[in-house]
Amino acid sequence: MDIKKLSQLARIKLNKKEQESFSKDLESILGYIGKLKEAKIENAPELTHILAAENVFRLDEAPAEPFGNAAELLAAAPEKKKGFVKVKQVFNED
Amino acid sequence: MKINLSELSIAKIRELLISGGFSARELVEIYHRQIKEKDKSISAYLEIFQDAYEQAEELDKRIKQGESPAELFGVPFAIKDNILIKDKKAGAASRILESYRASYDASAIKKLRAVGAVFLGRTNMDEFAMGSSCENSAFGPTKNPYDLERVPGGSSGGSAAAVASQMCLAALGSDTGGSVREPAAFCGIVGLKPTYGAVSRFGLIAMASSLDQIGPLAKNIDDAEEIFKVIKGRDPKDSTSADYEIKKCGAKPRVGVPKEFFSLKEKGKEGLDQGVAAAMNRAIEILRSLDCEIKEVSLPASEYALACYYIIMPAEVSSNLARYDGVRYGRRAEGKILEEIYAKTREEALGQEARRRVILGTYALSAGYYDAYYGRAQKARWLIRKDFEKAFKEADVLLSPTVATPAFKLGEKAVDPLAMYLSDIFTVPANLAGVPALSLPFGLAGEERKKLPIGLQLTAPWFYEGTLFEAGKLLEKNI
Repeated sequence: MDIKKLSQLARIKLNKKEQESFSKDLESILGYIGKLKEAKIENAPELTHILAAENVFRLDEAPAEPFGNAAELLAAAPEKKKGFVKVKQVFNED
Repeated sequence: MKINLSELSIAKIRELLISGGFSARELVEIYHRQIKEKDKSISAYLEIFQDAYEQAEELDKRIKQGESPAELFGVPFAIKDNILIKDKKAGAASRILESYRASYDASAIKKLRAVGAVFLGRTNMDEFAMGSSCENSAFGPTKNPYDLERVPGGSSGGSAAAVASQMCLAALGSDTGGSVREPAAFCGIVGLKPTYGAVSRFGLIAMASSLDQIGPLAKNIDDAEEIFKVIKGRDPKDSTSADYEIKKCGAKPRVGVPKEFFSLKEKGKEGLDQGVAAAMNRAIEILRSLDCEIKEVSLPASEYALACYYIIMPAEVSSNLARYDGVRYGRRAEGKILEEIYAKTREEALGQEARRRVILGTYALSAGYYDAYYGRAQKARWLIRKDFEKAFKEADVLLSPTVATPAFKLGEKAVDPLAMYLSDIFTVPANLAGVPALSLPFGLAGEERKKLPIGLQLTAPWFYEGTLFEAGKLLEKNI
């Protein structure tokens, strides 16, 4: 398991010490999870919905109750500009 | 008028409000006093709502005007910190949401509000509901009211401790792998995890969406039942919510005891605390004496339940927690480019267990591992559900311990994540299968001076919460 790669994928910075302790924890958890290899799953389908799922259609109309108000939702963001959530640049310049 | 808080119930409050024995406002006062006195040592609450007085005064006014009180009129509730109440802070006990205020009510809160419930405050929990001890809160642990050196259970530990120490009449929690039932067992109260889909998840801060359910914590089964009836129901805002009438079996339920959890022959099971085994044997005797048939059933795939859970849950966690990125809500770390802000914000403001699970989930879902982990776990989940289907052909309700031991000590399992995970071994299968399960207090174990509560778990088929209440009351009445 490449802990550095995983922390990049998960967008979580880990310091050296944590990289070590997390690796150790994850190895032990994965060791336990390995138990699943013994399960006889050959004939089992993948369960994706716990209750019988049917597609539920609704008319293509605006909902009767509009969701919240935009200003209030926007207020939760740490940085905004002219009614938009502001983000930093995505790419490094160099 | 003097009130003995431990004798109060929803029915009793109703009676007193109608007779004018006391007002909703007085009730809030009494509970606030109790919180002031007790919560310094227990730390169940993260915040006390001062506007509970206004809510109560409004209700008193309506009663004076002749309104007949609705189901939960004046009933003081504590709400877990991951369930949104409009204009109140809601943070799932995480630093990353420290400054977040809810802009809407969760559907369950809306329903409680509509029948007159009063909200006293929000309660402590394991961060993002990840834990079995309340020790993963970013704001320090809650203590068990029976022994302050022990955990109250988790993740709804604050809610359970508040109910147990009479700092509210009832509470809401959420249960993903046992987070209502385990703390209920450790604190000696009743906790219900409803059928998946029974209660809308709209406004519940998501942890693992295919497993999460909101449920009540209460002092007795009647109260839990009353609250459940109010909060259940189909909600267009949660596509997985179900519409159904609560069902129940006949007066003498056939009780199945899963041999993987408790052996009827040995009257116990390896690894089971003696007090817990004794409680099981007593419950079995009581049910037998009431002419209920007791039979052994088998849930063979439950052996894999915890392994299955620790793939599916972190996988869902890793995607649900992606929204906490320093852009949309609350806290943000500084950085030059976006990715740096994400990584630093999440490093600083997500606790260790949350980060551990996000990374584990990221691993399980990463390219090339699907078949080995997530796909395999979904298949095992099917087997687990199948086991329950089979068992419920022979039995109306299943009886097992809720947890193998009474509450453990603070710090005892905090250093070993796997040891902590194993405390959910009896509760996780119900979440994977989506069936309803209830933990009820069944006596105390241990030495004279520090006796600790024990919880027994009843599990019923999908939509049969009524069976849980009926069978639970048989035990509650005859203990």
